Amino acid sequence: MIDLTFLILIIPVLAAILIGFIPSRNSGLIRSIAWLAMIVELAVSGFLVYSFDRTQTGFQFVTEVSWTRSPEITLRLGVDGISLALVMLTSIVGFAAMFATGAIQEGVKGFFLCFLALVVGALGTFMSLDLFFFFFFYEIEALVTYPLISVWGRGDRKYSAMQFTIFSVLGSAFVLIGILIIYFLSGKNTLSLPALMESLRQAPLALGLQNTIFAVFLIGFGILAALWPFHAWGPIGYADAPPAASMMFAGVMKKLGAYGLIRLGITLLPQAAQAWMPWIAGLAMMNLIYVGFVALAQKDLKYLIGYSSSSHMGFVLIGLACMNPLGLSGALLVMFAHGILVALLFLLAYTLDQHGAGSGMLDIGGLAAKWPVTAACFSLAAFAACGVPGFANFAGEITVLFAVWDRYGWLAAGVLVSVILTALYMLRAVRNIFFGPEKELRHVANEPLANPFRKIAFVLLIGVLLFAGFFPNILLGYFKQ
Amino acid sequence: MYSLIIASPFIAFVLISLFLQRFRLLSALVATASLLVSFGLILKLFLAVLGHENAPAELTASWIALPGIDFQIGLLFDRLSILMGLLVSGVGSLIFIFSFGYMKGDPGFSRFFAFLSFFAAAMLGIVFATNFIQIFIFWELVGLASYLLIGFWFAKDAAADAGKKAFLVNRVGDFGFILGIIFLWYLSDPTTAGAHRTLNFAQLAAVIPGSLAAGTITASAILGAGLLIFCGIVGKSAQFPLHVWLPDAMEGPTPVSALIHAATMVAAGVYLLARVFFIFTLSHPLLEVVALIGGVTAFMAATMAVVEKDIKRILAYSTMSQLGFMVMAMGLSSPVAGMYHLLTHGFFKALLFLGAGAVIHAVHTQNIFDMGGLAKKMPVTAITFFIGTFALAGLFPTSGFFSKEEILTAAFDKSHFLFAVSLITVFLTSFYMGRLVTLAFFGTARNHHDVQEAPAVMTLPLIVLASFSLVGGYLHIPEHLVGSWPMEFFRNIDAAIIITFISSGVVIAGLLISFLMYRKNRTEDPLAKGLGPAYPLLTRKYFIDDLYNFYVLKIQQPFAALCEKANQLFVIKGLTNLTGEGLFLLGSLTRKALTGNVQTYTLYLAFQVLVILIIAAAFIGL
Repeated sequence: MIDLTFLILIIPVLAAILIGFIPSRNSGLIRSIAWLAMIVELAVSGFLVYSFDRTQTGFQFVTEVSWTRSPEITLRLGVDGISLALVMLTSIVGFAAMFATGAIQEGVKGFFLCFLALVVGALGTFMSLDLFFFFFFYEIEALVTYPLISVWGRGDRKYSAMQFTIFSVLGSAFVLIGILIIYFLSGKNTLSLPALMESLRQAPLALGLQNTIFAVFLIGFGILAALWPFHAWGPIGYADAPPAASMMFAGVMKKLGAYGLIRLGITLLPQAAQAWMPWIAGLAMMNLIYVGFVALAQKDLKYLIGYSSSSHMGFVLIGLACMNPLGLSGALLVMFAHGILVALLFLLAYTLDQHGAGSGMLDIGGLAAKWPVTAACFSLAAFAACGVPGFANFAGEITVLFAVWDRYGWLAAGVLVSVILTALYMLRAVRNIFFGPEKELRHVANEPLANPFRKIAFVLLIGVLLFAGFFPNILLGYFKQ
Repeated sequence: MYSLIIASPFIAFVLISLFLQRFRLLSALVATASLLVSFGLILKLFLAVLGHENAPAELTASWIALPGIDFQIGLLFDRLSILMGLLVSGVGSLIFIFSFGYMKGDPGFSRFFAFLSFFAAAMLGIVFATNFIQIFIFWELVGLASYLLIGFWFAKDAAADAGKKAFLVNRVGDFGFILGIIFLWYLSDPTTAGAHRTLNFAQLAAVIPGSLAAGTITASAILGAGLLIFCGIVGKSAQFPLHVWLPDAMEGPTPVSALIHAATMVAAGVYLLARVFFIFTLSHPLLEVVALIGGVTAFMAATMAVVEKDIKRILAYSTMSQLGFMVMAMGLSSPVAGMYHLLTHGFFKALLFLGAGAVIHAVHTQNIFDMGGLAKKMPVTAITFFIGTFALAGLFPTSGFFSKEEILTAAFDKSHFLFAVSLITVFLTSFYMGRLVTLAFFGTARNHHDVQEAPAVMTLPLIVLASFSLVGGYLHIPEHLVGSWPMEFFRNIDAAIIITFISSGVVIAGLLISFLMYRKNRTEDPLAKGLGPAYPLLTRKYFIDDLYNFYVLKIQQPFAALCEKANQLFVIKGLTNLTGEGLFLLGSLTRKALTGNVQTYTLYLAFQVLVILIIAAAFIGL
C-alpha cells in the first residue's frame, strides 16, 4: 500500500530519475522539476502533519516493502512525533534551500541529482523503521557530501570536501558497527526497529555490553552531531560548500546525529544511556562554551554561523543528557528551531555574498540603509539565535535550561554562558555588517529582497520560527512519549 | 477584552511594520490610538478598584505545558499593577503625541512608531505579569525594544554601539535573573519529585514563607535566590555596577530617553522588586544588600551628573540616581515609598526629558554651556521645565517632595549612614539641576538667535505632565498602593517634620549655590579647577567603563582568539589530519585517489559504499 510516508520518500526519487533522463543542456527543465518536487514535498509533508493523530503514541503511517526474508530486511517506513517534526524540518529546509540554487550554473544536472539524494537520504533516515535502511540512507547522506562540495564548492574545496566526507563516512562506519553488534546480540534475526525495541525492552542486553555499544554509537552519531571535539569539521565544509548544501548540512544533516542518538542509543540501550549521560553533558558543555568562544573569534560570517551552529548543538545534546521528558522535549524543540534558524542564516549569508557584500564581517558596514529588508531579516535571525522570546529557539532553550537544573543543578549556569556568548557574536555581526556609516558599498547591488519571489523563503522560515515560538505547545504536543 | 491591554499596541506594531511603512501620519495615529485603547481599559479597571469593586480575576493561557513545568501568560490585576499600568500607558501616550512633532521629517518615522508600540506592549506585559516566566519573557522583549530604539539612528556609530551595549549589559544581569527564577522554582517544592513547583507570584507568596518557617528551605537559599533575581534588577534599573549602559543610551531619540530610560523601562526593575517583595522581606542580609546598592548608585550617579555637560546625560544620571533611591527604599522595607517615588518620578522625569527634547529640537545642541537665555524664547518649555526641576529636587509642594520625604523617613528610621548619603545626594541633585537650568535658561543666548517655542503638539504633553508633577502629591497614591502590602509598610510623613525641614533646607541651598556659581561663569566650569583630582575621576565615570573595555579587549577577545588557535592547532590540524592520514594509509589505492581527479574519487567512494553494503549483507547472511 502506498502510504504518505512512502509518497514523501518516492517524490524526490522520482524527480531524480526524471532528471536523469533529461539532457544536461536542458538546465531550465531540470531546475523546474527540482522546484516542483520540493514544492510538492512540502505540501505532502504538511498533509502528513495534518493527518497525524497526536493522541496516539507509537509509529503511524507504517509502510512495508519486503526485500529479503532471512535475514528479514524490509523497507519499513513510519513516523512518530519526533520523526514527523524532522521530516517537516527537512521539507522546509529543502524547499528554502532551492532559493540558494540560483548561483549553480555549471553541471546543473549533477548538482540537482546530488541535492535530491541529500533530501532522500535525510528523509529516509528519519522515516526508516528498519536498521538496514536506516544505515543505507545515512550512508547516502554521508557520501553525497563529497561531490557536492568538491564540484560545486568554492575556496579550497577539494580539501574541505575530503575532510567533510571523511568525517561523515567515519561516523557512519561506527554506526554500522553498532548496528551489527545489536543485530547479532539480540538474536532475533531481524533489523526491524519496532521488533528490536520490543525484544530489548523485554530482555535488555547486559550492562557492560550496552555500554560498549553505546560508546560506539556515541562516537558515530557524535561526529555527525558535531559533539565536541568533533565540532570543527563542519564549519569548514559549510563555508566551502554550495550554499544550498550548507543549508541542508547544517540544518538537517547535523540533526541526523542527534536523531540517531535518540532512536538507537536511548531507545535501544536505555541503561547504558543513563550511564553515559553525564559524559555527554560534559562534552555538550564544551560545545556550548568552548565552541562559543571559538565563534566569538571568527571574522567570516559563514564560519561564524558554522561554529555558532556547532555550539548550539550543545543545547540539543545536553537536553538529551538530562534523560527526563522535559529535557527530551526541549532538545527536540531546539533541534527543530535550530535547523530552521541555521538554514535561514546560511540563506542570508548566501544573499549577502551573491549580491556583492561578501562574507567578511569587517569589510562591510552600514548596509542597513541600502538593504533595509535584508537587515530586518538578518536582525530577526540574530535575535532568534540570541534566545529572544517569541522565537521557537527561546522556547526550546528555556525548557532545556529547566531540565538541566532538574538533573545537573548549577550546571545550568554554564549553559547560560553560551546564551551571553551568542548575544555577543550575533549582535556584533549585525553591528558590523548593517550598522554604522556606509562604507565600501559601491560594488553592492540594490536591495536583493525587494524581489518578492526571494522573500518567500525568508517569510516561510521566520514565520515558522515565530509560530513555533508563540505556540510551542502545538509542536510539543507531537513529542509525547 | 482586557487582553487587548497588551495586544492592542502589539497589533499596532505588526500593522505598522508590515503594511504602514509608507504612510507616516497613519502609522503614528495607529500607534497612539492603540496605546490609548490600553490606557482606557486600564483606567476602567482603576475606576472599578476605586469604587471598591473587585478587579477581574487573573486571566491565564498556557504557553508551554510539559510534565514538570507549566509556563503561563496572563494578566494580574491588583492595585500595584493597575497604578503602574496607568503610568506606563498614560505617560506613554503623551510621549507618543510629543513624538509627532519631535520626529517630524525623520526618514524612519513609521519605524519609530512601530518600535514604540512594540516597547509599550512589552512593558505592559511586565506590568500585568502573573508569574516569573512571563515577566522574564517580557523583560527580554523590553530589552530588545530598548536595543532597537537606542540604536534607532543605526547609521551613527555611537548609536549602534550604545544599543548593543545596553542589550549585552542587560544580558549579563538577566543571566542571574533567570538562574534565580529557576532556583526559586526549585525552592517552591524542593522535594525530588517536585510535583508542585510553581512560578506564579500568588502561589509563591503562599508557599515560600511557610517553607522557610518549617525549615524545608534555608535562609541562605532565599538569600541566594534573591541575590540572583536582584542581578536582573541591577541590569534593567541601571544600578551599580551594571549602570554603564544608561548614559550611552542617550544616543537614542529624546522621546525614547523620556519613555524608556526615565519613566517606564528602567522602572521595571523597581516594579519587579515591589512585585516580589514578599521574597526579599524574608531575608535581612538580602535587604541590606539591596539598600546599599541603591544608596551607592544614588550617590555615585549624582556625583557624575555634577560635572556632565550634555543635557540628556545629566538627566540620565539623575534617573540612575533616583532609581537608586527607589531601590534603596525597597531595601529599607518601604515598598510603598519606593513605588510612590517611581510614580511621581515617572511624571517629572518624562517632563524633563521632553523639555530637554524641545530645547534640543530648537537649539540643535546638547551641551548646556552652549545654551542660554532660553527662558525668554521658550516660555512654556521653560516654566514646565522649572516645575520638573523643582519636583526632581524635591521642593515643597511638588509631587517629588512627598515621595522623597517618604524615602528619607525610611532611611532615617533604618540606617543613619544611608540617611546621610541620601541627604548629600539630595543636595547634589538640586545643585546639578540648578546648574543645568541656570546655564540653559538664564543669561544671554549664545550661538543661536532664531530660537522658537516648540509647536503645540510638543508643548501640550509638557503642560499635562507638569500639572501631574505639581499635584501628584495630593492624589493619595500611597493609600492606593497600601492595598498591595500589609499596613506595616506604610509610614505617615507627618511623623518626621524635622526631616522635612532639614531636607528642604538642603534643596534650597543646592539650588541657590548653583545659581550663584553659574550665573557668571558661563563658558568654563569652575568645578574643573575646584574639584582638583576628583574632576577627571568623575568625568571618566570612576573608570568603570574603562574597566569593562579592558575586560572585553584584553581578556575576553584574547581568550576567544586563544580558543580559536587551539581549535586550529589541535582539533583541525591535529585530529582531522590524523584521521585523514590514518584512513588513507590503509591502502595504496587511496593515495592515487588523493592525487587523482574528482571522478576517480567519486567512483572510489561509490565502490567503498558497495563494499560496505556487501560486507553488511554478508554478515547478515551468515
